[in-house]
Parts: sequence; structure tokens; C-alpha cells
Amino acid sequence: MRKGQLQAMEPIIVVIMIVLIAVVALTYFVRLSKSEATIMASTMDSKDALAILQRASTLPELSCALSETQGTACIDLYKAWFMEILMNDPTQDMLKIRYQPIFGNTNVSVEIIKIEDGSSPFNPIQIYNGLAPGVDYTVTRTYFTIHEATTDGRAFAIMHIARESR
Amino acid sequence: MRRGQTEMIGLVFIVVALLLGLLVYVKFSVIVKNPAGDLVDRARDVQQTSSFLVALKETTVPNCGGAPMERLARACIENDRSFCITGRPCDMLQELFENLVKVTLVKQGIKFNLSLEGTEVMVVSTDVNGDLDCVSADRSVDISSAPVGEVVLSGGSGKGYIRLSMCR
Amino acid sequence: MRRGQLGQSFQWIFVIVAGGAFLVFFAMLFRTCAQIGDEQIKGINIYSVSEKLQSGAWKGDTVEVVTIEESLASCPADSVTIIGGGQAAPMDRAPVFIPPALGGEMTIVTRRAEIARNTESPIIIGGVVYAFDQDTYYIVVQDIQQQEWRKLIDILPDGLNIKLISSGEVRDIENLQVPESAKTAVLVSTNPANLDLMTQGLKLPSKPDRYYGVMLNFKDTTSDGGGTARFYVREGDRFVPARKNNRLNYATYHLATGAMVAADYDNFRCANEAFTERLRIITTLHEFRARIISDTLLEDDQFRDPYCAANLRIAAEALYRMNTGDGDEVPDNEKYLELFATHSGKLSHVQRGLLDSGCPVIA
Repeated sequence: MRKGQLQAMEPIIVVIMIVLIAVVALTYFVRLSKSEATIMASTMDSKDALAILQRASTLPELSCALSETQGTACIDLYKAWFMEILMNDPTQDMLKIRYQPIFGNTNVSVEIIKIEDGSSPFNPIQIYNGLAPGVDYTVTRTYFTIHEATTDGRAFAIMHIARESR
Repeated sequence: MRRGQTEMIGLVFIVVALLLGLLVYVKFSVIVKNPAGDLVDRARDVQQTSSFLVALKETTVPNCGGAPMERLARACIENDRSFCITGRPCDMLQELFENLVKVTLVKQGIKFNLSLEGTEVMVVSTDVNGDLDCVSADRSVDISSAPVGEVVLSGGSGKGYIRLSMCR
Repeated sequence: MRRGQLGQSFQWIFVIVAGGAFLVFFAMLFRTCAQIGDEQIKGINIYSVSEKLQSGAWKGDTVEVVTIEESLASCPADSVTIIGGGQAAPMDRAPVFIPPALGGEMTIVTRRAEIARNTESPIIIGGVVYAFDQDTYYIVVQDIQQQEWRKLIDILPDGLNIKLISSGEVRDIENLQVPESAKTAVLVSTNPANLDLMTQGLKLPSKPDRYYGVMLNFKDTTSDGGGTARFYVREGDRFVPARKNNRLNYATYHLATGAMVAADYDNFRCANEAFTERLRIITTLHEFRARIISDTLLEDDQFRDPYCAANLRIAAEALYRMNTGDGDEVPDNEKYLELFATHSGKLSHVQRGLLDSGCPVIA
């Protein structure tokens, strides 16, 4: 190539280089922020699960008696049953609106595990159902204890939170 | 400025730009290995392991006058045969750990190692070949979370630890 | 400049402009993709105030200092909403906004509303959010018994400077030793007949610079059981109707469980109903639970405990009377609140008994 041609091409090459660097840098940046968003979203999921557990276990509608609580998440078994009845009562539809800020658009159920043999003595108790029907969902699990007043015992329990998949 | 010098500056600029671009690209391609997924899973692990341990410690031991698991763990560490059951507390603890773990962590396909430090009580998940998943001696194992649940020992003489390690 | 040099400068300018154009074009292209991720995490920011209030804050008092701009307790449908700074978020507990005014920096304290308060296991019936100005001294002029007032005082949060005087003592208001520099707000509750008497007795205008504002509350017999209040702020040496939030409503008994101060009577009534509805759910739940546990302790061989069963049955009966209007018919909210006031003493007594005997408690 002649020197003149090279010189003429110089600005074009510079432009191309700038564009290339910009493209690569932006792709990197977008990937990073997208993954940050996903991380944040999923960390939020986990944090959300814990937050939902904490809020649920401190609601007067679900909390264990204060003399029971040792500052850890504890839900009263009979109250959980009552909530399930209430949630399934079609005349109480307005209730969901009231508890929506606590639970969000999720289905929340609690399952007791008998530590003697690992069995579940009954089906999971659904304490809230606010998930839109037919959507894809992911389930987050978090662990806590349920207080049973007649035996004054605490049973190991799993809280299943079904949330719409992102 | 002389023409030659300008050209040189231009060339230098291009080379520097090329190098930078290459650097950025390389860094970018290394991260491609699903960084988001990794960190997401870790976040979930931390939350699950700590809530599992808290719940485990508080669960009432069956037929033991309402004593919590933490109390049984204490009896195991201190080798206190007078606590509640006939037989060794550590055996009882091992059995209860296994019962719990099989319907929670195992069912979720989590690789874990649950143990009461200083005792032989331990439950470890196994892979398809029956090999232990999450043994810390194995350096290729990546432990993503390992919080401990404290066990208060009698007379305030210190603490024992229930450790739940999750690995990937 | 020589011709060649000029040409070269133009070339570089062209390069920079063209490069910049490309850059912008690609940036816009990529921004569209990135935004999809953004939307999902926007949710974190919206519930700024509400989030703080809802963060499991039942353990004792939670104190926050939050700036609420132009806040109103607004009541759409049947949930109570706090609106501030252009954002709206629902709350699960009754708000109390004690004047002088909503707006500016306020201390927010969340408190449990409880029966059997002084036991190891109080019965939690809801929650209250108090928002007040720590630098204001609130003087309540009202004709309620001192012991009733003491009960209320016990419930109000620390940091709230509040004092009760009866209408008879109203002339002594200036001797209350409020610090000179402090703002003072006076809340007067009376019925319309006494209103003139009250304002005459207050003697506030004589030292107007000590008083930030006066709130007059009176029972409006024309409306259904509610109260109306007018808030006056000092302007020079006179008290004039406050420009903002001039009409405020509250009922005194709500100070115990949460006084709702709203911008107008409809909001007050709506917030009152939301709170009462929730209270009813909770006491119905308590009744259901007490009954089931009582039956189990009586009938199930495994858990037999006739003594505890009997005591829980008493609790269930008291709650039944509260929830059903003494068994006549389901009471309306107003009647229910009266029944609540009547029966809560009995419930405290029963709770203490259950605690002392090691029985399952009303929770």
C-alpha cells in the first residue's frame, strides 16, 4: 500500500477501533449489570423468603405466644390452621388484600416434619395463596419451628414460598 | 508537528486500543462461566443453612420433657448419659439428624455435611457412586456456606458447634 | 495555518464526530436490553417508608426517624395506606399521627397493641404506628379519669412528650413548665356545648409565643359517633385555622390501640374500620384456638388436662361474647369496640391465670 493510502485510511481505522472497543466494553458492562440484576433478584428471593418468614411469624395472626418465643421464628399451629380456613373461605376474599403487603404475590405453605421418623403428619398448611393461577413459579424453602400448644413442643417445619418465575 | 510523528502517534494509539480491547474481551469471556448462577446459589445456600440450624436447635426432642435439640447436643458433647433417654445421646442425635436431613436437604439434592463438632455425630450426603460429597479434606470441594449453630454447654463452660456445610 | 494542517484538523474532527455517533448508537441499542433486568429490581425502592415499618418490628419498640413529606393516612378500599413522597404503600398496622402536622421530620415508633399487657405473655391484638415530633410538647385537655390516663400513658411511646390536664385545671396551663424554647401543642377534647368555655379557659393568647398550636376536638353529635377536630396554628399573637390538615379526626379511646388522625372524617372512618376489621379477625382467631385447645385437652387421652381445659374454655367464652355481641347477633364495628373495651379486662385476668398455672395461653 502506498503511504498516501495508508494515511487516508487512518481516520477510518481509528473509527473502527473506537467502535470495536465500545461494543466490547458495552457488552461486558451490560452482561455485568444484567448478572448483578439477576444476583440481586435472586438474593432478594432468598432474603425475601426470610423476610416473609419473619413477617409471618411476627403477625399476631400467626405468632406463637410471647412467652414461647425466644426471638426466633415461630408460628402457632392452630393459628396456621385458622389462616388456612380463612384463606379458603370465599366470603373472605378481601382478606387477601389485607395480607398482600406481608406476603406479596406468593403461595405460602408450612409443612411439619416429625423428627422421630422424618414423616409429615399432615399435608402442608396453606397460610396464604396469592399467586396468580397458571403462572410458572419457583419455590424457595426456609426452615423454622411450629409451636403446638397442647404438648408445648416445637416441631421442625419447612415454609414453602412459591413465587412467579422471572 | 512532522507528518511522520503524527503517523506514529496514530499507530501507537491503535496498538494501545487493540490491547485494551483484547484485555476487556478476555476478562469478559472468563466471566461467561455463569457468574450470576454461582452467586445466586451461594446466596440461597447461606440463607438455607442458617435457618436450618436455628430450626434444628429449637426442635423439641421427642419424649424428653420438652427439651430442645440443643440440649441433646449438649448431652452428647458432655457425654451426659443421665439426660432423658437410655443409651447414648450421640446415637439419638445421629438418628434424629438423619431423619431430618433425608426429607429436607437430601430431598432438595443439596450436597452437605452436617456434624456436631468434637463428636462422631455426622451426616454427609453421598453422590451416585456412594462417595461422600462434601468432605473438607477433599480440596476440590468448594464449600459455599458453613455457618454454625452454637450449643451452650453447662455451667457456661464454653460452646459446642453444630456445623452445616453446603458445597457445590 | 497552512492548508495541510487545516485539512488534518478537520480530519480528526470528522473522526471524533463519527466515532461519537457510532458510540451513541450502540449505547442506545444496549440500553434497551439492560432495562429488562432493571424492572425486576425496581420493586425494592418503592416501599421505602412502609418497608421500614413492616420489617418484623413487633419486638418491643422500634424507633425510626423518617421524613414524611405531605403524608396522609389515606384509606382506599379496606387497607390503610401511607402515602409519602409520591409513593404509596399499604400498612398492616394502625397509624397514629399526632399533630402538630404531618410533614417534616417525625419520629416513628411501632408499638404492639396488647391486652394483658403486664404479663409475661401479653395477647397481641395488633399494632400501632406513632408518628410525632419529639420536640413538641403535647398537652391534652380532657375530662377523663387519671387512672384511665395512666393506662394510656403506659401505652404511648417514650419520647412523646405528653401531659394530661383536666378542663378544670386549664387555667394552670401556663404553669406546666414547658421549656421556653419548646413548641407546644394543645389538644382539647370536649363536646360542643363546652367549647366556648374551654377556649375561654385556655388563656393561650396571653403568651402566644409559647404555643405552637391548639387542636380542638369535639364530639360532633350530628355525624355518627365520630369526632371532629380543628387545628389552629399560631400566627403572630393569634391562633388561626391551620392551612394544611385543618380538620383532623380522632377518638380518644383509640389512643390505646392507635389513634387515627386523618385529613378528613371519611379517611378516619375508613382507617378505623380497617383497624377494627383486623382486630375482629384476631379475636375470632383467639376464640377458635382457645376452643380447639380446650377440647383437645379435655377429650384427647394423650393430652388430657381438665384444669387447663376449663380455664381455656372460660377464655373462649369471653371471646365469644366479644365477637358475637354477647351472643345476640354479630355486632357492628362500633358495638364490637365497646364490647372489646368491656371484655378485655376479663381476658387479662384469664391470661394471668393461664400463665400462672402453666397452661397454654391465649396467644
